Amino acid sequence: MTIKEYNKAVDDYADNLFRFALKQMRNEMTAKDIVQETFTKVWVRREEVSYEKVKSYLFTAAHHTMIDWRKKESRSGDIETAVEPTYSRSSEPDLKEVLDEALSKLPEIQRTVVLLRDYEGYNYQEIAEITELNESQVKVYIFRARKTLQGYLKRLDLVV
Amino acid sequence: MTGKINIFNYEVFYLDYLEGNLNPRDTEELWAFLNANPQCMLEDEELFSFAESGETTKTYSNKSDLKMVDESLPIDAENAAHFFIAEQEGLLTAEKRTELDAFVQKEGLQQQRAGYEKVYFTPDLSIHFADKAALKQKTVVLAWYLYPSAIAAILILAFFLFRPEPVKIGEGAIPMSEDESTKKDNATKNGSSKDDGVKDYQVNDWKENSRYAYEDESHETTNPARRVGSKEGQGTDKLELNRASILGSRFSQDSIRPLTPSLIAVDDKQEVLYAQASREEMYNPIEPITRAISEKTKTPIDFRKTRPSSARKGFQLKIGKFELSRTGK
Repeated sequence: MTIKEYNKAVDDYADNLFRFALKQMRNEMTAKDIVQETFTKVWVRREEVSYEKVKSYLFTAAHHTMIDWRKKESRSGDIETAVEPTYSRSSEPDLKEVLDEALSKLPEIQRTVVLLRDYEGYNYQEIAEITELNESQVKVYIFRARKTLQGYLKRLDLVV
Repeated sequence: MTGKINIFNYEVFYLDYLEGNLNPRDTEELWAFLNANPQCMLEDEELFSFAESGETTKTYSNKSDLKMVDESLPIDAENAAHFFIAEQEGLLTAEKRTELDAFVQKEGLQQQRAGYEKVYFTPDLSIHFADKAALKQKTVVLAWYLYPSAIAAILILAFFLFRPEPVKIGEGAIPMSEDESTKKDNATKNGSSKDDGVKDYQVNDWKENSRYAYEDESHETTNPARRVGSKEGQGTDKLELNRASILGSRFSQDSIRPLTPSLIAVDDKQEVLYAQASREEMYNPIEPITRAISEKTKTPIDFRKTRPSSARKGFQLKIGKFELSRTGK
């Protein structure tokens, strides 16, 4: 990948990657760090990565970066408190807010596969490559996540 | 109490207790220890209560979540959720979709079916990564015309970092010309001495008698082998008087050689070509740098290169008496 292609990848995918990381980490500063670290990894290995494959490579690197990040922070006991959603108490929380809250409660791997599916439109095979799972596992995780999310909404419906 | 249970081994007794292998006496001692060391008790509180309450009989309540659905089987209330999700994921065959429609209609599960449409996320496109510029790599292109300048700068730096040891004049065999030796002998015979106020020009004294050695620098040599004239009664005045004749008669351009030998052999032909190049066609693109270093080191430094418009390309670098030039087409 040339410098020009790398810079184009920044233009094309930095936003997507940032949204993906932000949704996962729920902290803007952390999400920015993840994006920077991910692009650094790609730059270091630019000789091996073609522009056609860079998006997939970026999300793979981001996935691993986030895993490492969580491990590091859990070891140091310095986990930053996730920003709590700010529901307006005067009105009912809208669907998006509730879904975000439900997403944050999913296991990490389920959250990752769901976001790769919904945000980036990856198919199961691509998600499997990024997360180093097999297609069946991806399907299982996505199905479980959807079921959990739906259950969360259903409970909320009952409360509200 | 025997005191055999302590902070280092209580876990062994504790595990035996959990497995039911601890005798009553040790059990009593273990509890006494735990009561005396509540910090140990606190760590294991839940586990103790778990062990004592018989919760090992608890079952996993979400087994249905772990079970896989055989999609070839008919749709029923138990596996309907799976097919709702599969529908949203686009994995249902047309046949299964028809079956699902019929099932939903029959069971009145429209609301439940619609619930699965909501569990999809859409990216907020208003969120952007603000520091894209910081992520980008800058392209560094060194213009071709900067290369000679860069080389010159490196050479200047290298020269001062690895400057060759100055040649010690007088060390080793530096032959004095025959007539000089003879004249020196005559001077000795005539009783001339340093005490007379006339310096006996010893080779080892050249550094101290720098006037002789370094004044000749202006004429591009201090090579004693090329020195001429009598050492007899060689006072300063005499030396200066002799210089005119020296310059006129013996110092030709060919005899000029730098004190410090050139580190890089320069092709004579190139020198000639360079010499032919018009001075006006050359300029110093790093003039402030060379001037600053010259002033700092008190060594004449010059770098010149041909102008881009010039037909002949080349450059010349001079550091003191070190000179490097190159010409091209």
